[in-house]
Amino acid sequence: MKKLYQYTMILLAGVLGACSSMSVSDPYSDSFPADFDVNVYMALHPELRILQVKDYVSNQNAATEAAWAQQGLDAATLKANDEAAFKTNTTALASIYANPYLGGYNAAGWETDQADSTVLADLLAFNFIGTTEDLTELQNIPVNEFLISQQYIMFGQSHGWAYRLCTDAEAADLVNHPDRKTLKIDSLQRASATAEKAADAMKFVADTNLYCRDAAGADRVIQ
Amino acid sequence: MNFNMNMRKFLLTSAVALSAVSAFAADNNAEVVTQQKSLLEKLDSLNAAVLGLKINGSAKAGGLVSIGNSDQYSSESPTQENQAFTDVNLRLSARPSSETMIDVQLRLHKDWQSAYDENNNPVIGHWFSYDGTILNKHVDFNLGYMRVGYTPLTIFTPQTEILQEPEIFAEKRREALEKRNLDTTSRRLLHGLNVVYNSGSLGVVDNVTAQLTGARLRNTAKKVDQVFFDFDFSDRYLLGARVGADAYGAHLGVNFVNVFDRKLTRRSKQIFDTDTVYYETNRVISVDAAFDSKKVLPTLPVSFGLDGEFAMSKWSVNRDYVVTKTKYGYELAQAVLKGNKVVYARESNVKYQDITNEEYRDEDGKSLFANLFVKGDIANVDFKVSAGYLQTDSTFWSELASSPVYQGGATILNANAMYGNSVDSLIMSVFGSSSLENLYFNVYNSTTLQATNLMTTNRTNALSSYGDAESEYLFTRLNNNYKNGHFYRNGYTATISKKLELDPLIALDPSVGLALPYGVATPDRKGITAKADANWDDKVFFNARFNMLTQTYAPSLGGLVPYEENKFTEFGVGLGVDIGALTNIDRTVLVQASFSSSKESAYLKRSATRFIAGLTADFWGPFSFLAGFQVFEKKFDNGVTLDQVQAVVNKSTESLVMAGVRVKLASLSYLSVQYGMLSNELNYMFAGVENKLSINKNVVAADVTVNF
Repeated sequence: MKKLYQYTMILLAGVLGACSSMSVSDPYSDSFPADFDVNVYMALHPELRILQVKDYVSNQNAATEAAWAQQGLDAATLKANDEAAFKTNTTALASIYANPYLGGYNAAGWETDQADSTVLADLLAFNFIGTTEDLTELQNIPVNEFLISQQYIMFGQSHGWAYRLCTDAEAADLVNHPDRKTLKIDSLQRASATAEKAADAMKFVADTNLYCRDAAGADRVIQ
Repeated sequence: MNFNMNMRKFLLTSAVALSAVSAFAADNNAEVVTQQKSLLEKLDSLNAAVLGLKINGSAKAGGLVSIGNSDQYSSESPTQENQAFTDVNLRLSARPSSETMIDVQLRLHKDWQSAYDENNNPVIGHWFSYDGTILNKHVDFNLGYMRVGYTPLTIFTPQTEILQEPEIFAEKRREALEKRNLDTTSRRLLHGLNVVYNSGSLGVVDNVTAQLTGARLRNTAKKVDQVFFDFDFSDRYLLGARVGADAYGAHLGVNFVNVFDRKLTRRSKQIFDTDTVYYETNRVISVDAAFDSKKVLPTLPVSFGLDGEFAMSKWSVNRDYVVTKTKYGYELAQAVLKGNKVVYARESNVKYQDITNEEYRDEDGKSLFANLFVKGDIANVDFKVSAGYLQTDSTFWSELASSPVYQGGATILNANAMYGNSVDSLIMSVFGSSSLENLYFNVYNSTTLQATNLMTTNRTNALSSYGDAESEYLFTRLNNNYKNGHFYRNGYTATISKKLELDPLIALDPSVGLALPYGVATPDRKGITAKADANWDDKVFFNARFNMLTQTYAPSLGGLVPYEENKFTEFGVGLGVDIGALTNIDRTVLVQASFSSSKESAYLKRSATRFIAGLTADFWGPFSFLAGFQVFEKKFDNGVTLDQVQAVVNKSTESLVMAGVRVKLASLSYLSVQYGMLSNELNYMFAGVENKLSINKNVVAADVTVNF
């Protein structure tokens, strides 16, 4: 009886061992759709890059101001002077305005917008203080691809963000690849996003579909 | 009585076996007379060893008045301090068998002032141990309190050596030490477990011994955790081991001591942001060797030999402190871009407090000493002459051999006195009162603790937590007729300090030894030591000491170099003559005198001289006359700067005269009346002006002592 018990245990251990896999899966690559490309995702959602650049500039400026203060310089005046100079550099401002990953505005609107104080205030977020070479430095900010792609895992996917362009076949097949706006999930999520009561906002339903974007700018289900 | 015979035989053999070690340890400091006396006491106590419970002890009842006077006392200062008490020390020894013994020592102290104030006087138990000699007398053990000595470089207590100290002084010093559970031997007071194995004769080998000691060095009397296991975060641990063999009069031994702090124990208590906690580990391994020709050449009247020890130490310190660390990661954030809310990922950092540990110190050092001796008994002159060399690295550290029990610095008598000048008062608290006061006097009180004398007397006190919300009659006149607290002022301590926590002023007080303040294990010393002791038929006693030592890295004061060489020269001579024994009048009339001087050539240029004279005479029937005179002068030619006071002390001159009559009332019962005058003069510079602090204390003491 004792022997039987022993053999059973050995057999059990053997079965468990045989069925288990020694390979370790990579939680990062496994979570993404197979054809996910961070550059494509960024191109579809340039606002992710714009906010990244703004944070970068803001952090740099805070460091510069702290350094100035440490040296005993008048940081507020220096900053004001630098910002005044930035506002007068219209060439650079126009480039920043039209760059999809910086200002993100339509180039055609510059003529009217350059007098718009709201737009100018927005563009001021791209001013590196302590330098006049703002444009060059802005273009040299490295893209943190990790943050862009993690946004998809942490937020974009569950909120139905498209991660690639649709193929021609997908774009043509509206039956199998419906527009997200026609789906119930879209209205559900919109309701929770605009809910006034906290309890309603909590009723968030995650989107389990994957989406691509067609030439018209509509997000379509990939399936 | 067969049992007593066996015990006596054992004691004699073990005394011989242990003498290689304990005498070797004790020899340096204890006088020959003291050693013989203690051996005789042991024999007596053994004679009295009976199964069952036995109570011995001593009772002392009397008073002490100390009248202080000083020009520096303020006009409103109290000048008198009185003690009147009955102090009873009980020693309960319970022997369940001839092999083991439970030893409990208790102290009852009654201040006469509180005679009507309480009905319960607490008994202070100050010694609890279970000791025995078991396994066919091969194994001795101590559990609980114990006194353990290994070798001068491993476990050892450096003692104050005063040549030809008159009995009137010696008795006072012994009493002050006893109040702190200490004695005059070189063994160290520890609390733990000690096991010694002695093989006895094994063919050519006379004895093989092995010893293991484990103890907790406790820094605080109260655990931080009241209910959990027996540990406090400040506890330190001692592990010691020793093996040795004796053959042909030679002894060879290996000793190891490890003292350490435990990180996990300490970390059980929170470390605050501003704390830095140091963990010290001190390991010493030593080889000791001794040889005495008595064993191989027993017929010669003179024997010669040597003893020596070589030790290697490791002292390492690491420390814990709190640092702010940053953890980098990413987080989701929401921003508004052109009027739209966008959720995006951004970098984040989280600041948090964490304990970091770093190595702080790591020092290895070596120490070595070797002594040659000649001893013998020629024409009734019992003598021992020895000379030796010692060399200790500045990085050597052996904590358990380097903590003297004399701490000094305390104001023992007339502590209630106030000074008219704040500088005098500060000097008194930093530099302390005279060395002689600390060496010979102690004050012990038991005072009733109650709401009104512990705290304030008005409406609120420490017991009341609600202030005005409570009745003002709730705690005032609330007498606690139960608790009595024991308090003492004493210049001795059993505390073993870590190297980083040493009080530098201890090393400055030459009462322990100017050249070797931490005993033989004092770091950064090399040179020669020599001593001679002779005893002619217990009639004439002679002692001589000579030490010449060099310190290589003495701090240089104001010099261009950080260190300079410092030479110490010490010598002492003492002579005692028992006129009674010389003239065969069958009474002790012992006249004693000694002079000793120590000085250093650099650093503070200290010098210390001590002169002692004494008389112990049984002059008529039960009456004895005891007297002692001592002058002790400490000079600091370069001055000791007391940073806290901004004063520089140059010289301290102290003297103590004591005289008294002792009457033997009955067997082991004595009445004693003594007068003493203690004077202390301190010369110091403050703000460029020479000042003098001069205090005289007149002490009158009378007591009845009964030993039982």
